[in-house]
Amino acid sequence: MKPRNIITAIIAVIAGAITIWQFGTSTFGILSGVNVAVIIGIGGLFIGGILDRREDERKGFVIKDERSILVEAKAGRAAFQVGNYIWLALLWYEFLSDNWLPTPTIWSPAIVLIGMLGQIAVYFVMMRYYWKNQR
Amino acid sequence: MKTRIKEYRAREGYTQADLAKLVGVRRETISFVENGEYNPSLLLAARIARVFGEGIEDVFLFDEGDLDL
Repeated sequence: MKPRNIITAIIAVIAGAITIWQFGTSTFGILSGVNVAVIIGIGGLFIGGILDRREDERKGFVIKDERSILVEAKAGRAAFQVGNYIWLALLWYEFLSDNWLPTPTIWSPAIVLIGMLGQIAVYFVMMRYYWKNQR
Repeated sequence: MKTRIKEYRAREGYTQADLAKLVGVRRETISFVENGEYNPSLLLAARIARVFGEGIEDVFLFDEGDLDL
């Protein structure tokens, strides 16, 4: 792992911890902390990716090719499909909790956060999987 | 599918990065193609073969049964 990514991860974890400290350890507080950490993490990776691509471009390499486009497309499709199931499952759980099940309800901002974080997680996991296994 | 890319690269004195620049793909893609972990498009396969001055079937070796109809 690149030192830059390690620094980004450390900053993301610290920012997430500060957010949880500020909002408390309720479900929303924890989700907010995770969300802040994810935002900083993705932002860092994005900026790092731009720097890497500029460096590769300067050396005369292409940035995108048939394989990278294929991997991105497959990961995007998987994130869309699985993400939809995550959203549906969350909304259905909320509906059941509100009406029939004696389970705790999740209020809507938390549902949005869980759904988005889930979808982002699926995208990155699938990117990693297809990057290693795309034939 | 196996390939003889490594062998031809050694013959021509190319690194994976050199070959990537010549055929217009990312460095990692050459590594995956070379190790038989990615099946390139027909166009990319043809470009790689042309760099070495060989035919596609000399560079890319199909396994028994790969071409069965």
